[in-house]
Amino acid sequence: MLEARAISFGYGSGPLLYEGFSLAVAPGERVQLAAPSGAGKTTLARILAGYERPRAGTVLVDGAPLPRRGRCPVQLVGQHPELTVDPRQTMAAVLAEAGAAPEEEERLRALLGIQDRWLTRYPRELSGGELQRFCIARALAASPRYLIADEVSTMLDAVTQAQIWSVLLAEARGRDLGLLFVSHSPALAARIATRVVPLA
Amino acid sequence: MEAHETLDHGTQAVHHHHSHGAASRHAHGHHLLTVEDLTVAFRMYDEEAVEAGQGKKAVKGQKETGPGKGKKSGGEKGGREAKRAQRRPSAWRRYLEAPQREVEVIHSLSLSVHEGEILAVVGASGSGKTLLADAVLGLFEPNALVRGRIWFDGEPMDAASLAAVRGSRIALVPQSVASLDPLMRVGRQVEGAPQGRGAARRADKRRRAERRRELFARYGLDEDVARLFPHELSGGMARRVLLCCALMESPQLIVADEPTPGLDLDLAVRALADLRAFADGGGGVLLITHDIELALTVADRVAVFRDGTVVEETAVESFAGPDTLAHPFSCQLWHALPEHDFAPPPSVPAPGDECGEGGAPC
Repeated sequence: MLEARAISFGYGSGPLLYEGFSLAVAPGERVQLAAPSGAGKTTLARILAGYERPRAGTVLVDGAPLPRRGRCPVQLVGQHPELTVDPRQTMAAVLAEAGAAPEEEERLRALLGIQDRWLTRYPRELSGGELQRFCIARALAASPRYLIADEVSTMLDAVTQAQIWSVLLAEARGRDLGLLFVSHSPALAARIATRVVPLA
Repeated sequence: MEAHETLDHGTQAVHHHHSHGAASRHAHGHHLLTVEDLTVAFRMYDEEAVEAGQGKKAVKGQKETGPGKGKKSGGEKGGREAKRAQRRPSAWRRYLEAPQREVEVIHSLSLSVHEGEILAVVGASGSGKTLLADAVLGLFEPNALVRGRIWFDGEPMDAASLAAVRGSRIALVPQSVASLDPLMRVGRQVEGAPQGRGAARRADKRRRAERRRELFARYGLDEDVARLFPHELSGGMARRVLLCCALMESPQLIVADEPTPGLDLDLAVRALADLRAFADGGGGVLLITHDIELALTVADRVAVFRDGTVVEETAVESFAGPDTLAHPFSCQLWHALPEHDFAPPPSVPAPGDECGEGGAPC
């Protein structure tokens, strides 16, 4: 169970985005986080994945707080892939950050349609959609127990979107992952979500 | 193009490479933007040839140079040569003799945008849509080779003239929110630099601030937002700021490269409605997007883009069902929409793969 317990958060000395917000995602669940633009969905995703620390409240993974070091069991795939990769590393090095076995990496690359010739390129030499495949592969290679997908497919064309989501859903089912996702497309959300949580 | 106005656009849906929407028109007897035979290639190092080492020297017209002899020398040296071929060439050799090749990313692409029209460009990610936008704006990477002809408002353009109209007559809504200056407050970025001197400059500054406030109010951005830095914005807010930047001057053509990701449905519809209003006011819009459903609600025509070229240019109405779409890739797109089948094509071709033309049954 990925739990947020009574979380409050605000940037700097700014106003609180939410106060006492709680959320629980069980393994195997696919939860949509719904809120208008600017309400703090991405921030919540970052808190749950350990990128931000809440002002109050705790984030628990299967009863234990998020580890401060090492591989995080909650992996986040972000909205802007170009901002989540090191611009000075080749894509092979970016993918290796997850520290997965080569066979696993190879399997994910094949699943997500990552071509071998992209591996020697730098992030700026790939398109947004191609980068996003790497980000998803990297997140899955870190063998997470919970995956947070923050608008992962908005930069993808419809065919690729269907392809990537079929991979994500199959992997989530196979590993019994808990999935929390953000999407502004009602049709897509209706296809995926087992539950909708409004961010109030 | 002289005989063009004599054509009856109502009856002839398709003529010289493109179709017409009902509302589009040719002011002054020419298109607002015409792109013909655009080809974009990049010159880059050929890693494969480097990895293959000395064995594979003559790659794509590269002359064999340097002291390294191929494998094809005499038989008595065979053992040693084979050993050498197995070793990777030394670092300096790889550096000095690195062969280059040209990678063509956009192939002979033609499209046109009329005044009063939105042309939506939809298609596979990584097929070169953003490069098309860059080419129209005259933004070329140093290693890019761009060929083809571009006319804007009846004038033949080159890189310099495109750069001259960029930002004033042709505006871009960039794809990446990283296009904002991270060190400048967004209000100033949207307003831009005032023109003129003295009183004129102050008047221009006031006019810009006024226009900026108008745009912010329209897109539901608070006045406080103008004081923020880009990293303090949410994804959706950054998109709206980018849109405001493009609408600040009064351009004739807006190139919108994925303006809607990150916006909730309400805002996305409003942003597209604004592009529609801009087109109805006599401007032209080249809308590059993945969100087909949304694009269909505002666009006049749709160009389906795949592997660096337009495979089908069709009226919006054709997207009502897969039967009216001509190209297999358009049908795949239709079937893959979450509203329809949400189905990846059965023979999942590697994206960007040339042999993926087989296509889904339509």
